[in-house]
Amino acid sequence: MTPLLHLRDITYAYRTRRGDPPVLQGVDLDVAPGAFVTVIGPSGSGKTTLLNVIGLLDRATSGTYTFDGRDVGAMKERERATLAREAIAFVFQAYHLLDDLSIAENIAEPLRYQKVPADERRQRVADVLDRFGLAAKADRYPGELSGGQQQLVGVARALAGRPRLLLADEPTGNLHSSQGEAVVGALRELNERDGVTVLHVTHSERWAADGGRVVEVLDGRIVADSEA
Amino acid sequence: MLKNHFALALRHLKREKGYAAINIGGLGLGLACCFLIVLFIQHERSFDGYHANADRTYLLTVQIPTFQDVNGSTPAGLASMMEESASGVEHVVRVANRSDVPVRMPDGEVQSVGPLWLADPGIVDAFTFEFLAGAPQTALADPSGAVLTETVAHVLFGDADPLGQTLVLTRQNLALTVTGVIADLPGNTHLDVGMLVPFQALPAFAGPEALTSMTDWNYRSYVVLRDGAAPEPVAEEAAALVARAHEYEAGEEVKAQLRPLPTLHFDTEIADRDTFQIRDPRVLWMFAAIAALILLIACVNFTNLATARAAQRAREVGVRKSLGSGRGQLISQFLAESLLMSAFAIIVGFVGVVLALPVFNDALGGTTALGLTHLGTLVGLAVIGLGAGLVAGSYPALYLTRFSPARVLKGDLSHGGGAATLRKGLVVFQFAVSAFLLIATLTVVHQLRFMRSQDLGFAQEQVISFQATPEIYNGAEAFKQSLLSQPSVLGVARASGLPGAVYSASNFLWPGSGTDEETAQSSQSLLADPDYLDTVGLELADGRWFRDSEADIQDAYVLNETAVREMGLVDPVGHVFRAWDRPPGTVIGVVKDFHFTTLRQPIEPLVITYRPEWMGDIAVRLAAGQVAEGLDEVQEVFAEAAPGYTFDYHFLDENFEAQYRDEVRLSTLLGFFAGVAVFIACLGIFGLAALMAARRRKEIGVRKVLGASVQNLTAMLAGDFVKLVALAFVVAAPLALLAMNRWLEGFAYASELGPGVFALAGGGVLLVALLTVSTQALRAATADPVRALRSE
Repeated sequence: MTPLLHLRDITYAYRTRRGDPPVLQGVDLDVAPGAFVTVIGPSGSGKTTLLNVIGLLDRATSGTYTFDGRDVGAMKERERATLAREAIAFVFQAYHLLDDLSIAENIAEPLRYQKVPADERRQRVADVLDRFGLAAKADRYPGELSGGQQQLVGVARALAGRPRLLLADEPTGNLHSSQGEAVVGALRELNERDGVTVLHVTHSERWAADGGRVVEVLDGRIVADSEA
Repeated sequence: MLKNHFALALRHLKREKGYAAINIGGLGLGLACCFLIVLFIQHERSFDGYHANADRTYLLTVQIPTFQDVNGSTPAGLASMMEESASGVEHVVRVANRSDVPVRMPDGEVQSVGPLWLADPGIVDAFTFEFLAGAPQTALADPSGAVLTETVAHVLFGDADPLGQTLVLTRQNLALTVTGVIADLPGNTHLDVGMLVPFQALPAFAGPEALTSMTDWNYRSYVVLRDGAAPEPVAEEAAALVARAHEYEAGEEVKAQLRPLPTLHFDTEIADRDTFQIRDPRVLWMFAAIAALILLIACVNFTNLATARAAQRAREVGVRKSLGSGRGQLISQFLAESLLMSAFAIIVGFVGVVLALPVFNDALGGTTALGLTHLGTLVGLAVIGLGAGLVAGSYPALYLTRFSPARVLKGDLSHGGGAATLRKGLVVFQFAVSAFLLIATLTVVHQLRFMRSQDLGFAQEQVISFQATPEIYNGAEAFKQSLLSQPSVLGVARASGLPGAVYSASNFLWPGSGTDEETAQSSQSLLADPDYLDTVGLELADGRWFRDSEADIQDAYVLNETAVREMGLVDPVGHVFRAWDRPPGTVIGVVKDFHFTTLRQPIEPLVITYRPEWMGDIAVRLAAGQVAEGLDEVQEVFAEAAPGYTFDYHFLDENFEAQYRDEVRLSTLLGFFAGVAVFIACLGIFGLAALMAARRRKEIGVRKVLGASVQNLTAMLAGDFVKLVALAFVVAAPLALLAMNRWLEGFAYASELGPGVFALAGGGVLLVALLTVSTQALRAATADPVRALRSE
C-alpha cells in the first residue's frame, strides 16, 4: 500500500549566520493511510518543525516528501496550497481559534476557504457541533469557553474540512488532564471512526502509552519508531 | 465572501474601540479638511464658467503707451467701432460700475440699491442671469428701464410686484421703471450687481459726450464673439482702433487682449484684482497640496497603527493560512477592514464639513458660499475617502499577509524590522509637514504684525472718511464749516483719495534736466485741499502745502519724495511742472513719503494738486479720547446736509486693514490646517505610544524591578518619539525657510524670517508631541511590575 506520507532524508535548517545545526537532519518517515502516530520528544527536538513541513506550512531545506504518492517538493505554491486546504488540518496547542468569530463560524471557516456551498457548510457545521456536544455553544465566542472546550472546537474545526491527515501539535499542552483525555479521545475517535490519519505531537510520554505507533524525535532526528 | 469580510471587519472594530476611534477620528478629520479644500477649489475653478456663452465671452484689456497697467478700462466709444469693423464680434457689452447709488422711492424715501451697473442690453448674452420677472431680451432695451436683483427688489418693494414700479436715481435725477428682476448672483462670479440700468443712460452720469468718448477710460468692455471666431484678430482690431483714435505714432505700441471669461478669475496679469476678484492660482495649488498632505498624515496613522499592531494580527493570519486561506483572500479581508473604517471616516468627514462650513465660508470672506448640495460632489468626495482608505490599508494588508504561518504560530515576529523603520519614517513625515505648516502660519502672522506696525507716514488714528453726497458736494464749504464748529472735530479735508485708497494715475510733464524738452511720466495723482496736510497728518519735507488762493488751484503741485527722486528733480520747489492737460505750473512743496496704496508695493511717485471740483472724499480728524462723541456730531451734521442717506464712514486705518484681508485669511486658514495636522499626527503617536508601551510591558516590569524610576522609564518611552519629532523639525525648517522667504519676496516691506518663528514652531510641536506620548509613557511606567511579569 502506498504510504500517505513518505519522507526521505528531510533536512530543515534556518539560515543563520551563527551556523546553528539544522532543526531536522535526515528524517525518514513513512505513515500509512489511517494510522495514528504519536510523535514524542523533548522541547526543541524538532517535532513542531517536522509537523510544519508535513503540513505544508513550511518547506524542507532538502530531502524528498511525497503525499499520497505526489511529490510535494515538485509542486507549485498554488498546488501545495490546494493540497493543504483540501487534505490537511491542524490542531494547535494554543487552540488558535479566531477571536472575532463565533464557535460555529470558526468551524465553518476552513469550509469557506474550500468553497463549500453555504447550505452544505451549515449542515456540516451542525453535524460536527452535534458530534462534539457543542451545539448549545454554537453562537458563543472563543473567549467565553474553557480551554478544553476551545480545544474541542479546534478538533471539530479540523474535522469539518474532512481532512485525510490531521496534525495535532501538543493539543493537550495547555489543558488539565481530564480535558486532555477528552481531546485525545476525540482524536482517536476521529482516527478510528472516520479513518483520518493522525499525527499527534506531544512531549508527554503519557499519551504514547495509549497504543499505536510512537515515533521519538531527538535533536532533529528520529531515534526510535515503534508500535506501543 | 465580501459580505463576510465586512461583517468580520465590523466585529473587529467593535472589539478594538480605541484603535478604531483613533483611525476613524483621525482619517475623518483629515477627510473633513480635504473635503473643505476640494469644495473651495471646485468653487474657485467654477468662477464665471457657468455662463451659457462663457466659451466665447471675453474681457477686453487695452494697454496704451502712457499707461501700461493691464486693467479692464476701455473708452465707451470703442464698442460701436468694434461692432462695425471687427468681424466675428457678436456684441461688445459696455459696463460702467457705480458703487452704492441711492434711489428715491415714490414715497420720497431714499434707499440704497448696492452696486449699480450701467450695461448694454447684450449683457444678457455675455452673462447668464436667471430672470424671475421680465424678459431678458427687452429688459434693458428701454433707456429708462432697470433690472433689480431679487434681494434689492425685496428691500425696495417688499412683497409687491416690482415690475412697472418707478424709482429715481437721486444724484442723476434719473427716473427709471423696473423692467426685470433677476435671481441674486451666485458666489462664483466676479459680477457684483444690485441693479442693472441700460448703458444708454450713461450721459446722466458722465456728461453728454460719454457714450462716444475715446478719452474717458472708465468702462469695461466684454466681447461676445460669434461661434468659432478667433479672439486674436478682434483684439488686434481693437488695438488698431485705439491707436488711430489717439493718433499714436508708429512705435508707440497699443496692446489689446481678449481675456476668456472662465479664466479671468486666475488672470494675475490684471492689475485691478478686487474688481475682477482675481485669485492667484498658486493659492489653489497651495491648498491642494495642504489637502493632500493632511490626508496623507491621516493615512499614515492608519498605516502605522496597523503595522504596529502586527503582533496582534499575525496570529490570525497564521491561523487562517493554516486553515487554507490564500493570501489574496487575506489581503481582501484587510482591505475590507480599511474600507469599512474609511466609510465611517467619510461620515465623520461629512459631519465635520457641515459643522465647519459656516466658519470656513466666513474665513474666506463671506462672499464664498461653499456647500454640500450636489450629489456628484458628495460621490466624488466619498470616492476620495475610500481611495484614502485603500491607500492607507494596502501596505498593512500586504505586510501582514506576508507572515509565514509556521513562524507566527510559534510567536516569531522577527521580520518586523522593515515596518518599524517605515513607521519611524512616516512619523517624521507627519511631523515635518505639521512643523512646515506651523512655520508658514507663524511667518504670515509675523508679516501681518510687521505690516501693521509700520510707520505709514501719516497719522492714521482718529481720522474717519466718507463720500460726499451730491448735496454735500454742492455745498462743500458750508458743510466743512458746520463740521469744524463741532467740539470734537479737529480738522476737515476734501480730496480725491485717502491713504490706503489712492488709485488714480495721470501723466505729468516737466522740462528735463539740461534740455528744454519736456519729459513725460505717468504717476499716481491725488487731489487734495489746503486742510489735507494737517487732517491726515502728512509732513512737509520742503516748500509749502496748498493755500486757499486762486494761484494754488489747478497749477500748483506738491510731490512726494519718491517723485522728486525718480523724476530727477534738483531743488524741486519752484520747478516748472504741469499735468498733461494743463499749462505749465510750479512745484510748491514736497511731502515726506507716506504709504498711500498698499504695503505690498513700494511707495510710488505721487503728484498732488488742488482742484476743488473733483474731490468727493471727506476726511475728518476727531479729537483723541472723543471719538464716540465726534462720530455722533459728524453723523448729525451729515444727516442735516444729506437727509435720507446712510452715514457710511470708515476709519483711515481700516483702509489698510482691508488690504491685509488676503493675509488675514491666509493666516486663519493656514493656522487651522496646521492645527489639524498637528492634532492628527499627535493622535497617531498617541496610538503608537500605547502600542509600544504594551509591547514593552515586560521590559518595563524588569527595568522597574531592577530599580528604574518612573522618570527614567517615561523618558525612555517618550524619548524615542521626541527624537523623531526633533528630526522632523530639522527636515521641515530649511524647506519652510526657502518657501516662506519666497512668499515674503512678494512684499515690498517684508519682515525678516528670524529664529523666533522657528523656535516657536519647533518648540510648540515638540511640546505637544511630548505631552501626547508622556501620558502613555507615564501610565506604562507607573503600572505594577509584578502583574506585568506574571502575565508574561
